[in-house]
Amino acid sequence: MDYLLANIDFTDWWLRPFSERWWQETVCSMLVGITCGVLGCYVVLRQMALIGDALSHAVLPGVVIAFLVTHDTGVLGLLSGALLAGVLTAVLIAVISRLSRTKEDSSIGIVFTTLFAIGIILISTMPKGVHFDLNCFLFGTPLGVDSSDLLLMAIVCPTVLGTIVLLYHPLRASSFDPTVAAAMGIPVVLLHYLLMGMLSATVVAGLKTTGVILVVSLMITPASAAYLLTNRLGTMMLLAGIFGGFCAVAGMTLSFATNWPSGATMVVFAAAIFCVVLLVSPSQGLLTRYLQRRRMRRHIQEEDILKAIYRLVGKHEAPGQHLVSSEQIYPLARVSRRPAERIIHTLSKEGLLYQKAEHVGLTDQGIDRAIQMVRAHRLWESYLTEHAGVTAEEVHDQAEELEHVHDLADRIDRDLGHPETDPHGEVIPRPADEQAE
Amino acid sequence: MRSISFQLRAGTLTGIVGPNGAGKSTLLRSILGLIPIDTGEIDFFGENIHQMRSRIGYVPQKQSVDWDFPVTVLDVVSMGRMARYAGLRRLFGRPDAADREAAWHAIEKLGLTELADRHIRQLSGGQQQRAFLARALCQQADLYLLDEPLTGVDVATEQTIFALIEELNANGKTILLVSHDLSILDRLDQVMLLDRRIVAMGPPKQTATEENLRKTYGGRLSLLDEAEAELMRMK
Repeated sequence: MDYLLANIDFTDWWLRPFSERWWQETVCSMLVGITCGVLGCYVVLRQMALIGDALSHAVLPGVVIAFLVTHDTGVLGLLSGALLAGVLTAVLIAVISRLSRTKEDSSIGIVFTTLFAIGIILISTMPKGVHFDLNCFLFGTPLGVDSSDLLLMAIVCPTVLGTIVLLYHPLRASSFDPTVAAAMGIPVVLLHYLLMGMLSATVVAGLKTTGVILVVSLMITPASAAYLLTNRLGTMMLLAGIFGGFCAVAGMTLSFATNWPSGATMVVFAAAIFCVVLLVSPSQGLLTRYLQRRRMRRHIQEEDILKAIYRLVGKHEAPGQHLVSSEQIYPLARVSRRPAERIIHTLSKEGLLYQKAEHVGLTDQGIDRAIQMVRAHRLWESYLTEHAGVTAEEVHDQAEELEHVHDLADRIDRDLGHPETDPHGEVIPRPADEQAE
Repeated sequence: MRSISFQLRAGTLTGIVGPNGAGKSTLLRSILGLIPIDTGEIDFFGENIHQMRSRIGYVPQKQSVDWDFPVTVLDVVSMGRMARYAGLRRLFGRPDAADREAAWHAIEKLGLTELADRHIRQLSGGQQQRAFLARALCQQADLYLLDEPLTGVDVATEQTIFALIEELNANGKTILLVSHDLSILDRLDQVMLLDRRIVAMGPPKQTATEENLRKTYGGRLSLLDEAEAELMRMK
């Protein structure tokens, strides 16, 4: 127990996050997070996730050579090394996949592993006394962030963000429809290499905080989450930027408090955001869609039960007079016993039907709803035979589904010129107020 | 493809007809400079094609884009205006009032006004095709290259497209339309029967004879085929 307590320093863990160091690193990693998020939108939309991963690894030889030449992790050296390596990767991938039958993903795999290998060999041949920390390159060392790294982030991030804002229209056009954009004279290829260059620069900027292995996550995950939330590119970039920035700040803060590696913590935050969005996005969420489907199924079952009772009761009985046994309803409504019992319970609470012992009957309100259904069903049958060329034999099953969309019934009625009967010769009921006229 | 040489008169509708693999789309793309041509040149009102890009509107085959891309109909149509930007404006330009007006005008013309704010995924096939046409239309080009605009569209869209083509022709615009379908022949001023070379070209009645059509659709020139296969091997 003593041992554990001794290891965790309780005295200042809540102060650590607000130290001067925290401020510096948080602001800078937030910049990196925002940039990664916004730039990531293009990575995601142009389906370049694999290229992003490749670029982040392939900058290694560039960084090493810059290090060998300048004997320092200077800003300019690192940046130009990374840019050169990044653009070289992009060019090599394009050349290999265009000039041979090698598919693009294979070319990506070949190029980035090769460049990475060259980088590792270069490191091993370094003269004694020169130390290049491969671990730092791979996983990042936030504690190793010095003022020159902060300067690099402060230069790269605003530049990349500014470029994306300035080139919003041509970038969007060439990402959406490269063929037509090229036909219009937009420099599609140039923009592609520009994006590659910006990717490499951002990777180097985020190098110390996240490392190259995890930096891809900050590009893809926030942008993918934003992609599930909106149909507008501008909104998507804004959201991705916010998500990216939030992950960086939250990850950095938590890592200060817990001494966890900051890059990994950021990635976990990003993944958490993505998971939440994946589940509950209003239009795309898995959970949202599941609930919608369930609600729809429930709605259909409710209406089927109402209609079944209506048919069993017969329309001539006065409301509240006739009761049917529940046993008869289930097969007719094609709903099994358990859900049917639950539904009958809710329907009676809503006042559409009432229960007496094992029997149920329709209230006035329930009868109105059932008539509405029959009306929608028969109108759809007429519409389908008239406009969709469905035969009278087949039409019933299709109308059985469509009748639940009864909001459209009045429009069909108008379009068909208020028909009296359906294709089977059955009378199409009218709403009570119309009947009175 | 070899020995393709033809002229289009301004204000006419020309159809390129031929079997699959005849090089119809390739011809359009090489006119646009998207595919390098080995020899020969393409003139546009006597000028080099590259300076004239803004005066060519291109509607590619429909399935060529990612329909999940986050853009609305208005966004897609507005993109057409970028062809008119020159120089640095092509990179840094933003749509101005005239651009917006032209985009809305094209949207109206193709009956998409109520759908302008919709995501492109939420349109039917015919509406998607009309959005692409609107994009080319708001470019206010002089030559329109339409690649299979009638494939997979509903009757209403087909009528809209033909009405639009007639109106464009009447305004002196030239249209080059690709189709694998012969039913459009009687609407054309001129037809090009293409099967990796121009089999015949001229007014539809005289050109689309049974013999010419058999030449176009009925198999290739076997000697030339063999020679080309040989060339490919040597390369």
